[in-house]
Amino acid sequence: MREFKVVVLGSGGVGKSALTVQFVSSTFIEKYDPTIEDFYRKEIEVDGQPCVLEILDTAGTEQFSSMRDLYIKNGQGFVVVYSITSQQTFHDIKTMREQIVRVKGTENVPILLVGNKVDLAHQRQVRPEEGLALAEYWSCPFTECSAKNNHSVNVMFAEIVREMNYVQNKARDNKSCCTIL
Amino acid sequence: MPHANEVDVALTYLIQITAKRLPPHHILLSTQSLLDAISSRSDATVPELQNNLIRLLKSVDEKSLKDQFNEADYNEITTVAKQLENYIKYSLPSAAAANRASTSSIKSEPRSSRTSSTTTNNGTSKTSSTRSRASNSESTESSTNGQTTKEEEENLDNVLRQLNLRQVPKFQPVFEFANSESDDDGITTDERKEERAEKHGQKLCEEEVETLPDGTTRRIMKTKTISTTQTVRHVTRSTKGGGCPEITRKFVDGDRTLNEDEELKTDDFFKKSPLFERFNLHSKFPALTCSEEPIKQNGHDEKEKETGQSQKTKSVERTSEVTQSVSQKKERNGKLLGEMAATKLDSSELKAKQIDSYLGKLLLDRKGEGSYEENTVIKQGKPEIEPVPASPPRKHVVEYIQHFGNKENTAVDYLRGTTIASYISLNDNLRFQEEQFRKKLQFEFSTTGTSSVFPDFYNLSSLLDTDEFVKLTLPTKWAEEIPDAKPIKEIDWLKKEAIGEEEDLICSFDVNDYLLMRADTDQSKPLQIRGGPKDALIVYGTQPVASLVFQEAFLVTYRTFVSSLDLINKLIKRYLYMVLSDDSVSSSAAKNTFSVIVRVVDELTTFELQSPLINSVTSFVYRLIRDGNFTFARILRKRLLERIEDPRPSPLSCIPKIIPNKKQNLFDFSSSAIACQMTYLDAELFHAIEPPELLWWAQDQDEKKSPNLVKFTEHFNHISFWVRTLVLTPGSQSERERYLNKFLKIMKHLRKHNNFNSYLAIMSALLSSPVERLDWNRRLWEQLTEHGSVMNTEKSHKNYRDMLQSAKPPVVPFIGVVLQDLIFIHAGNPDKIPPERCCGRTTLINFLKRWHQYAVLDSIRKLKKWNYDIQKDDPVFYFLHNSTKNFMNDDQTWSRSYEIKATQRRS
Repeated sequence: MREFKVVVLGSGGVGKSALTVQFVSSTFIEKYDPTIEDFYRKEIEVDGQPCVLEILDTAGTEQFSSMRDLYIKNGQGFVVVYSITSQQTFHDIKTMREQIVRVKGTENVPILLVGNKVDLAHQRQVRPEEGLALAEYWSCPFTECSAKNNHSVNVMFAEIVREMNYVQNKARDNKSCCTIL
Repeated sequence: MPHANEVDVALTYLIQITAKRLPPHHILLSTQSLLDAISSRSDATVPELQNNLIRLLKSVDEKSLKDQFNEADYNEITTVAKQLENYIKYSLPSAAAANRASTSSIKSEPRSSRTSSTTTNNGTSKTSSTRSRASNSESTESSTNGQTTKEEEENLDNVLRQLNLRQVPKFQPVFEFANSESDDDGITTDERKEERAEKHGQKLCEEEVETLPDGTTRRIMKTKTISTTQTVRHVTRSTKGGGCPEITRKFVDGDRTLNEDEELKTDDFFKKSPLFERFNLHSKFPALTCSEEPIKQNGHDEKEKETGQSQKTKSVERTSEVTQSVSQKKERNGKLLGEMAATKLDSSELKAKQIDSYLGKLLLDRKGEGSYEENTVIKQGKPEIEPVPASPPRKHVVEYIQHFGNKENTAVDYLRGTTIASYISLNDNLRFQEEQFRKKLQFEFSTTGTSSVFPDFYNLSSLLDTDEFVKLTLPTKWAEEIPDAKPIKEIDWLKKEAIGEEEDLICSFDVNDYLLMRADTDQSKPLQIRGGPKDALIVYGTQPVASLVFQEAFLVTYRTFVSSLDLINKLIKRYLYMVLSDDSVSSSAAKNTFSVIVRVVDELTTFELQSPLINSVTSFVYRLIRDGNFTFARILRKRLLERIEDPRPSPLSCIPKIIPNKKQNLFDFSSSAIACQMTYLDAELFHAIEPPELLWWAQDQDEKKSPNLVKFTEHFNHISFWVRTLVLTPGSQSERERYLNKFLKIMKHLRKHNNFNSYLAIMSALLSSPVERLDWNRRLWEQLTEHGSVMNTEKSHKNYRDMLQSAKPPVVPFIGVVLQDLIFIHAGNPDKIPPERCCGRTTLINFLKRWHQYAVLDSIRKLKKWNYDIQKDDPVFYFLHNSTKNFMNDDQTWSRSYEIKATQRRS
C-alpha cells in the first residue's frame, strides 16, 4: 500500500489540530491519546486506491520557526491552513509556498490551501474569492471546510492525495521527456 | 512566652522604614512580622486592636499593589501605624489584660445560629475540636496522663495516612515475544511465574518531658517496634491452546485473572489496603514484637499538677521493602519461543517527628517534620542472564536508540499500550528503568493543619489504562444546571455577611452522589472520577477521601474549567460556611478547605496575581484576623506575599561585569564548557515555566499568559539561527567546516547532559536547508545525519520519545512535543461529558481529559525538580549571552547560502 506523509501548516489558532483530530478519529472516542505511535496514521481510499496517510501536524510548534525546515523536509504533501475568521492568519501563510519550494528545492510540490472554520461564517474576514485567488497564484487546489461540523474534512485529505499523485506523475512524465530528448 | 515588646519593635521598625521611604516590599514584609508579633499576644482578640491592625494591613496591601508608593501613601501608612501604636500604648489595657487572658477566656466573635442544628452528632466533649486560637482556653478534657487524645494525633496520623496512599502497585510487565502471531495451529504453552515478597518495619517513639512549677522535670518514654517479614506469593500459571485469542487476552489483563485466583485472595497488599492499616492489624502478623516500657525519672509523680510546661515528642520510623519478580516463557510444540523476566525492588523509608508544647493541658504549639524516601529499581532480562547494566552505555546516540527501541531486544516497552504511554513511562523512568534514583519527599505541618506533601505517583497508569467503553456509574443527584457564564468578581470578604446556604453544592459535606465514576472497579478507589459538576469537583478536591492523586490532578488542571479567582472565592465561601459551626465534621472540612486555599495561592502565576484576586485574598485575611484566627491569617498572607514578591532573578538580568579585552570567538572556549553553560541557561529558563502556562498555551496561545514559555521557545529559535549564522558566515569552506565540527562536538556534550532543548536547536540549524544544501566533508556529514534521526517525526515522534524516556534526569526536554501533545489532548477530548453518556446533562466536566493533561504536566513538574550540578561560568556564559544576540534571519541565511553555492532549482 502506498504511504504518504502530509504536513499540516498554518498559524496558531486556525484549528489545524481540530482538522487532524476530525480526520484521524471519525467516531467519538472517550479517550484520545496523541502520544501513541500510530495515532497520526490513517488508511483511506482515494478513487478506489487504498493508501495510508501519516500526518505531521505542526500545531503547538508554530512558535518554533527554526523547526519548520525540518518539518517541511519530512513531508511529501502540504496542507496549508488559515482561518476564514482572521485576515492575519491568511496573511501569515502567503509566503508559505515560497518557503516549501525553497526547502524542497523544486517547484513541483503538492499543496492544498484550506480555509477553516466555515461554521463561523458570521465572523468571516477572508472572502472565498481571496482564498481562490491565492490558490490560483500557487496553482494548487483550494477548499473551505469546518473541523467542527466534519464538513469536507475527509474530502480535503483525499484531495491532497490526488494532488500528490498528480505531481508525482507529472515529475515522472517530465523525466521521461528529458530522457527522450 | 510571647513578649509584648515584640510588637513595639515591629511597629517602630515599620514606622522607621516608612519614614525612610524604603520600597514597598520592605514595608510589606515588616507588616508581616508585625502580624506575627501581634498574633502571639494573648490579647490579640480584642476587637479594637484587630480593627486597628486590619486598617494598617489594608492600607499597606492596597498601596503595594501599585508599582510605586507616592509621598501621600507613605504618609498615610505612617498615620495608620501611629494610630495602632498609640492604641497599643495607651488604650489597650495591656499588661493586666495579658495576665487575665491566660486564665480567663476572652469571648471570641459570636457564632451563628447554625451551630445548634449541626452539633447533634457531637457527643463527647473529647472529640470537640480545640482550634488553635491563642485566646481559646476551652481546653480538651484530656483523660489520663500520657494518653494522647484523638485531636492531638490527628496531624501526624493524617500525614502518615496520606503517605500510605502511595502503595506499591502490582508489578506486571507485559512481555512481547517475537513472531508470536504465527498462524500455524501448533500448541502454544505460556508459563508465567510471579514472586512477590515484602518486608516492613516500624518504630514508634513517644517522649514526654514535663517541667513542673518547682523546676523539676518528668520524662516518660514509650517505644513500640513492629516488624513484619515475608508474605511470599508464588504463582505459576500455564495456558495451552492453539493461540485462542480469548485466553491470551485474559492472561494479559492481570487484574482480573489474579482476582479470580483463589490463592491470592488473602494477598490484599497488592490491591488496596494502605500499609498503615496493615500495621494496625497487629494480630494478623505472627512475627510481631511489641514492647512498651515507660521510663520515669525524678519521680514527683502523682502530685497535683499545676500549669507547668510540657513537651511531647512523637516519632515514627518506618522502612519497607518489596521485591517482585515475574518471568514468562512461551513454547510452541515444545519449542521454546522466548523467555523473559523482570524484577522490581521498591523500598521506602519514612521518618517523621512531631513536637507538641503544652501549657498545662492547653496545646500551645505543634511542629512536625519528616522525610520520605522512595527507591525503585527495575531490572529486566532473560532469566539466569545478568540484568541490563545499570546505566546504558553511552557509545553513540544512534546505537543508544537501537539499544532501547529495538523490540527484538528485551525491550523496555511493557508500558506501551497504556494511554499517554510515553508520559507515563517518562514519569516512571524518572523513578526507575535500569537506573536507580531516589526521590526525597519532605513534608511539614503545623498547628494549622496545613500539611503539604509533594506526591509522586504510581497509579496514574492504571487509571488511564482503560478500554474505551468502560461502564460509568451515573450520579444519583444532579446539580442545578447553571450556565457557565457570570464569573464571580472580586469579593470583599471582610464585609460580606451572608455566606451560603445548605443547598449550595459548594457548602455540602458529601458530593459523591453528584460525581460520575467508573463503575467496574473498586468503589474505595477515589481515582475513578470521570466527571461531575464544577462545584462538586472542587469540594471533592478539598476532601481527604479524595486521594492525593485527585487533589494533585485537580490543582494542576482546574484552570481548564474554573478560573483561579473563581476557585478561590468558592473555597473561601466554603471555609467561612464551615467555620460557622464547631462540630468536628465542619471544622475538619474548614481546615481541609483552608489547606487547599493555601495550595492554590502558592501556585498562582504572575499573570493571575492581579488586583481582583489579590483583593479577595487580602480581604479574607482581614476577615480571619477579625475572627481571631491569626494563625491562618499569618500563613495565608505570608504565602501571598511570597508569590507577589517572587524574588527569583533571571539569569540574564545581571549585566556582565567582565568586558573581555579582545574580541572572543567560539573557539576560545572548550565545547564542553559551552555545552555546560548552554545547559545552565536552558535549565533556568525551563524551570521558570509554570505548568499552567503550558495548559493555557494549548487552549488559546496567548503570549501574555505564558511569558516564560514564550521566552523559552524564543531562546530555542535564537540558538538555532545563531548557529546557522556562525556556520554560514566564514568565507572559506575549511572555516565553515571548522564551525560545523565545533557544533557537532557541542551537541555531543549536550546529549550527555540530556539537554534536548539546545541539542535540537543546534541540530535544527545544521539540518536546516540553507546549511544542508551546501557541500560538506563526508565524515562530518555522516555524523550529522546520525543525529538527525532523533527528529524523525514519524510515529508521533517515536525516536525522540524513546530517547527522552530512557534519559537519566536531570533533563531539559524539547517543549515543542509537549505543547503538541497538550494541544491534541485539548482538541481531541470533549470538555464536558457528552450528553448521551449522562442522561442528557450538558454541564458535567469531563475529568478524564484532565487526567490526561495531568499525566503530561506532572512529568514536567517532576523534571523541574531535578537540578543540574553546573555552576555559572561567567566568561563563557556572557560570551554566549552576547554572541547569541546576533544572528541572520531566515531570508538572510538563504541569501548567504546561495552566495556560497548557486541555486540549482529543479522545475
